[in-house]
Amino acid sequence: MQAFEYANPTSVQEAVGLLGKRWEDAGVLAGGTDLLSLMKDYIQTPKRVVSLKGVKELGGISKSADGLRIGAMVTLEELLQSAEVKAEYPSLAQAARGVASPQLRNVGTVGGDLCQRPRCWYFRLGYGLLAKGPKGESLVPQGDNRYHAIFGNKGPAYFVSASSFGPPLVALGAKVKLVSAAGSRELPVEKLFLIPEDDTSRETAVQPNEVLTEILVPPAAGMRNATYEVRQKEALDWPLATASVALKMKGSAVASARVVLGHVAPTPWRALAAEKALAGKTVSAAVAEAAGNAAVEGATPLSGNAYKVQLARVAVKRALLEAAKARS
Amino acid sequence: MVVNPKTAESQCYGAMMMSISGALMEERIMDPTTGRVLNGDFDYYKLSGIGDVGEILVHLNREPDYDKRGVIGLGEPPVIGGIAAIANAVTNAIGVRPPEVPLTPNRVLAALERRNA
Repeated sequence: MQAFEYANPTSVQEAVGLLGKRWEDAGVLAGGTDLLSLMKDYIQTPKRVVSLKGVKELGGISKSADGLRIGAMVTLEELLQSAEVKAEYPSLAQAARGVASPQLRNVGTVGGDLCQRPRCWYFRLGYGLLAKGPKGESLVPQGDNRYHAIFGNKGPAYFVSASSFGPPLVALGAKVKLVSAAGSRELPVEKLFLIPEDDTSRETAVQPNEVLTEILVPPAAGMRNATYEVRQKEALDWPLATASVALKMKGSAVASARVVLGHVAPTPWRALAAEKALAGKTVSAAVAEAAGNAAVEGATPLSGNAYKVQLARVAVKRALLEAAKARS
Repeated sequence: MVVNPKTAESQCYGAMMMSISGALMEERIMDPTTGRVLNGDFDYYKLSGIGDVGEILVHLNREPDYDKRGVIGLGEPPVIGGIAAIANAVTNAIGVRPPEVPLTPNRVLAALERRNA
């Protein structure tokens, strides 16, 4: 690991003052479950590490008429144990439970989950986010792409978003707050994730001088939601495909739906055809299956990941059936 | 011949866990272009964790006839039969044999597709 300066601010204002214009200037440390491995592997070598552990205002979950405010430093375990989350946002609790390691849930944070870097093995081996080989070509299409994208993969990006909470938060229509020394801005989670088009851009809209401070989830009244995750292992493992659904109900029928796939594209991936297929329907096994089929229409698997299409299809079906049986 | 039943059983528990990992997860993945190992970490070099290991029962056959063979090693041998047993169980469950271990989702789905074709 490259030597770095350690800063331990106690307020957001102080923290953003310690960040720089470029990514090399400073790294933001939340739970450290990703940043530290990136630094050990020399994928990121920030000159200064700004810890948010002493910033008390970034903690806490609170409910108001506007919905739920989740501090960026709330741990996955705190989220999982929250009575409000359990009662009204099962999709978030299920996503947290998917990180099947109590150790990681106790240190990993919700803000960190959204800001973590992709797990693409070419990226982690030092070939850059766009996984470029010696001639500038992407190593992914010709290489081993079993865990790569089946949507949004026209290039040059082929990785999948690693975030567990991205898909349920997009489905729920949540926003995040980003703060810099110059001020703050709110962004829908859907706009937080980006497909980079060149070497200078990243997979999120967060700028080097910004800190993600909180997540704002709209009220869940009259809504059913669920997340279903397909993993190879029961124990800690990166998902192969996930689906998060949020259904606005009108009686027993779906008035409108949001269906968002995870781990299949460089961003959480809205399955618009599935959303359309659900409108006005009562969720049954047949309706859920049809929505699953609609969700994977237009998938463009690479040489080694066509199996993920079936996993995504099943994830949508099971998330819908889970949401349908849940209390709204 | 089993000299110390406690440690012999313990070897077998470990071996069964290795069988589960070998049959379902463990695989070195090389990049065809760069020749580098892509999963030289525990993110993608997958091993069974607590949640993947069900109840394991070890029975040591301790008849006098077996004891005549004398003391032999008991480290890895119980791993091998376990891998074949799990692969056979999967074949029995899905009606078609995925020809390679580990039985990843990719390979099991491909086998099912061949069965349905």
